[in-house]
Amino acid sequence: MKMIKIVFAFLLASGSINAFGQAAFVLPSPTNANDSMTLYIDMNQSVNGTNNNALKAHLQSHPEAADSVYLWTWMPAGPACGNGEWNNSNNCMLMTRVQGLLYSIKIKPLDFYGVSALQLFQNGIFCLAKLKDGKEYETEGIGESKSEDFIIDIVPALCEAVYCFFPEAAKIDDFLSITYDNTQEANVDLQNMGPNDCYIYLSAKTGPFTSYPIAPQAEVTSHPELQLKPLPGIDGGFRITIIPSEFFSVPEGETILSIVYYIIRPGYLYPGAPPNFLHFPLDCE
Amino acid sequence: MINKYFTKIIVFISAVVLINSCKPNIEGEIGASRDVFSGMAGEWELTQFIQQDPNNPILEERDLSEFYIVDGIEPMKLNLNATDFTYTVDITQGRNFFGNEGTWGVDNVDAPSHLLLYGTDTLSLNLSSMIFPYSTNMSLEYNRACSDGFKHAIYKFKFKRAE
Repeated sequence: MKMIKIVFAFLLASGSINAFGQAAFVLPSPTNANDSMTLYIDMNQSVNGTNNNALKAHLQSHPEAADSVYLWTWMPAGPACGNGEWNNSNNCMLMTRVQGLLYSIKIKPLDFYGVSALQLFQNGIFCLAKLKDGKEYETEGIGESKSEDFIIDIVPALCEAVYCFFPEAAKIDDFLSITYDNTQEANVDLQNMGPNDCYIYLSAKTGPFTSYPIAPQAEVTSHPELQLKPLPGIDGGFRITIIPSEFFSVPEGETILSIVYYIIRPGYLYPGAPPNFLHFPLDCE
Repeated sequence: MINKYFTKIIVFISAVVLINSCKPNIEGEIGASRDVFSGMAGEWELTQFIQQDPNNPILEERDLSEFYIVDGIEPMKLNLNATDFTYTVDITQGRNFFGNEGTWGVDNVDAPSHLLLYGTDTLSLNLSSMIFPYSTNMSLEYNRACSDGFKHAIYKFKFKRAE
């Protein structure tokens, strides 16, 4: 019986380590790439000396440095505001001490890294924590004031936005579905659509100034192929599915880089200039 | 106490091994190996087409059969010839991911897990199960990936053996 208890305790401990043993993580997870998320680094979980790193030891022996921990990150890209120099961190990378040796930084990942959702989910986040002067306390001989390298996998959240794409990454010859939630529509002229009211302006963008719309805004509702079908059982939900390479007439030699879209209803035109274009990048080549 | 249980376990395992080794040798032939190709050969008619996003937290699937199966129009057919190992695709509705024709094979003749289509491109399609001559259904999965290997979509083709 004692043996069984020992084995059970060991299994329980293993499970606990798996659940709570991450030194770097993001919340919320799964993550909506377009929303804010908070990146946490728990230096309590850090292991000194795995990569000449001694930040945990330095923070424990020099509590006066506890509020000078910076994020240093290089994947999915360098941060848009810049890491700064190793010996002179950029202020935008200063982390907040939550409590003890737990640090956080709140970011909007796509803006923070200047990448697409695909690049974020595909690569994850590579980072470490460091003191402003990464070589501080080096004379103590136990390593640099940095953590080991962390790799954080980013799990995409189910889309709950006004527009959702399925799949979240697509090639030009994939089936691509656009789902529109009219109940979240901010434009009062487009709210409360009936089952036959929902149309979409679609254009294939092949360059900075080159795009190929199926129809101009004023003619969209005359094109049945641009009508979204209501989703059975989902109030205000509409969907259209296309294969971009077959749907758009793009001259040979040009490549569709993104899809431009916005919703239209019969009898309604956006006043003045066209609305701010929404883009879905076709960056899976 | 621990040593007591450990000793018992060792004695038990030893006993099992000893008893097992006393079994008589198997005699006789196990028969000819299964002919994978004759099981897969023939005409297969598409009955369902599903798209899955492998990056979706719940691995959401959507049934897009309506793009392939329309009343009054012959559904897509895949014809696998086991004599010359050619294949043809007859399709009037829906996107043809397989190419019109080419040759075919499998990754492992003893235990195939992938159907290989050598058409305009070479496609490796996951076989969901072994296909025997009496099998009436065949499911193929086409994993789509970006040029850097990132898997972004899975297409699931479900066929029935055409009559």
